[in-house]
Amino acid sequence: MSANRLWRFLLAPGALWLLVLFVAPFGIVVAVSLGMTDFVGRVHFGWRFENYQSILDPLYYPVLLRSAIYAVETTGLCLLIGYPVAYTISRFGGRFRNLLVILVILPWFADYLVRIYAWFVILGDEGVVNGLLHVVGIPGSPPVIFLNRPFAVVGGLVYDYLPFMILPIYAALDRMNPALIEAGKDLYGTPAQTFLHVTWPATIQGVIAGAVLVGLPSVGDFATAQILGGTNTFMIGNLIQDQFTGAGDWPSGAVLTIGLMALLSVMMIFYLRSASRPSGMMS
Amino acid sequence: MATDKWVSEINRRDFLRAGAALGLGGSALWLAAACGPSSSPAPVANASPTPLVYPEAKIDGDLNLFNWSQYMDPGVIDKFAKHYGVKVNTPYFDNMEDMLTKLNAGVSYDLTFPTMDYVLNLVKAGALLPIDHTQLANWSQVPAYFNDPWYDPKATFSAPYAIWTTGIMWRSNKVQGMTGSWNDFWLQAPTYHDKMFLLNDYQEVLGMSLLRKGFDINSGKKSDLDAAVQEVLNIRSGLRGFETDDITNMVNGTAWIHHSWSGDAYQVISQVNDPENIRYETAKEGVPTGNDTMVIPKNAKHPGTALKFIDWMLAPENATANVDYFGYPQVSTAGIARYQDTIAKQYPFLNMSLDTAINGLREIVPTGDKRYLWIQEWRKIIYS
Repeated sequence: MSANRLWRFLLAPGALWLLVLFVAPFGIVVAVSLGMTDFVGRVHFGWRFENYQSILDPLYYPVLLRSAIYAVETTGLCLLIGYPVAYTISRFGGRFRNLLVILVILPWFADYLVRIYAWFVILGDEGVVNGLLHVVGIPGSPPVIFLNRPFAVVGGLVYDYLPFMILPIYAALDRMNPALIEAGKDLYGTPAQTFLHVTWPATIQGVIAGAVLVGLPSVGDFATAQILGGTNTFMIGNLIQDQFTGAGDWPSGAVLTIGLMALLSVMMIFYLRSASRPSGMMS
Repeated sequence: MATDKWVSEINRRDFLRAGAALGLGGSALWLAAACGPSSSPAPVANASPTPLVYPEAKIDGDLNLFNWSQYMDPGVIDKFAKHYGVKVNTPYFDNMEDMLTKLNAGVSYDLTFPTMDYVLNLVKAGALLPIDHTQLANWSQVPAYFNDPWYDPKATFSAPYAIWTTGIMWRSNKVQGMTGSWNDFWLQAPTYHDKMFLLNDYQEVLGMSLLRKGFDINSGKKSDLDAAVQEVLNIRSGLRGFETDDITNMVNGTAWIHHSWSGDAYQVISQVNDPENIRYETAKEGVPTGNDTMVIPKNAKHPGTALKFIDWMLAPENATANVDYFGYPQVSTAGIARYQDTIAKQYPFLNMSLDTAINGLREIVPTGDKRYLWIQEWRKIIYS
């Protein structure tokens, strides 16, 4: 009984944290979504449920579609890059494994904006890479335009979220018994067959976790497209920001925020339910 | 439907209804919202006839100065801080809507820099503190016209800051065939598309395209705006981006042609190794011009220090130092004279006078239904 009370007591700081920094701001967002703004952009509260119609504005469709495509591309690329990295560290890292994992995370100790601005120095029109291309005789001024392109945005997203793919896959590989792979070989499986029938199913939960950790935040990302994007790279995050600081339209910004949160929550619930199901291979 | 999200005037009934809504929905969420910063807008519809209370011009704390980035000489600010023994914080905004959003979020700024059309609305909304000219030793520096400008009768709530024109900046060593027309963007798009930017500012882009088509820069006609937007969409795939930071884009070589503001061209000139290659032109179809201002928001915590700062900026030695740094004619006798004696002489394409701001073509921020129309038209450009 008293232990029970102690646990409840220990919950209090966390609960307070959530209440002050999540529930209350979210309440404000909900309240704003039902209000309107006046001619100098001040919010006046109300019960304007019709504000939620704006979520269906056809002007948003290309932005929503683009965000989904970028998120899928980002997740796919992170998987293609991340899985071999995790596999290599896990299987062949030896005593350097922990060090290698730390190296994966190390760049994230520097601020995101600093890292993105580094791209300008490296990939800018008059940056390091274009300087080298120019020296080796690639024509054009600049030889290649890397920035302000859709692939620059996807590249930035991959760069930003890659560790979220590597770490869960690494954890899954780490949990896997290496004897399983040897068993696969003993049964005359080729390396490809062994991977497909043994390793991949055993680590699929790690892959799904990585896909969720990469995919969901990249749908809502706005800084990458704002900094590395061009005229045709507007994403949902930019859309929401534009409602507030571009148009002074707080209610529409709040409506879109709630819409995005609802969408991501549904996907998250879907994932959590599937993850909580026991998977035959692992147990 | 969504049109009235931007009410041009909030009426008393709406406000009471909103208040009642808040009161009735007594859940924790609503209380949280009511306590939030956004509840601060008070009923302002009929700016009350109560007499103005002028803040006193004396140091009453550190200064929170809210401005565009690279739009004031940091040396002049440092000297103010040293002279009065205060700290000056200098947060930045990206554009006017960004400024309003943060102001409306309840952040207390002591001094900010709206453009003339925004001052008009802020005054109407009762969102500013009045300025007592007699308490400012250097007010005599303010030219006659700006003692009673069109946007603020008797300059009750604002002091003028700087004059700009909007035009096109380019690198003459990379780009040939500029013609002094807004059409240059369309003319040059096939050749220089990857090196060309428009400003990320809906008033500037739509206004520019309207002028090129021969329409009113502030047109409220949907057919005019549809046509202007279609023209921008025709070159959009050829544009590198929409960007307000024209200085960085030109200096680091990303842009060769940039929709830009006059003084920014001067800042690029002063930052690149080959200033002789930087050019700026205004368009024959029409030159958007205007001035911005220094105002004290109503929720300023240190209006006294803010007044002292306005006076500081009007002092001739500070105005001239500031002009040398940011490249715009600061609206004071000394500031204008400095601009014309130095920058305008050395770079004739940057020449402009007080008359430019008084009689020029003004972009007026749309309100109400017209605002909704303009924003929707702009979104056709940036969302698709």
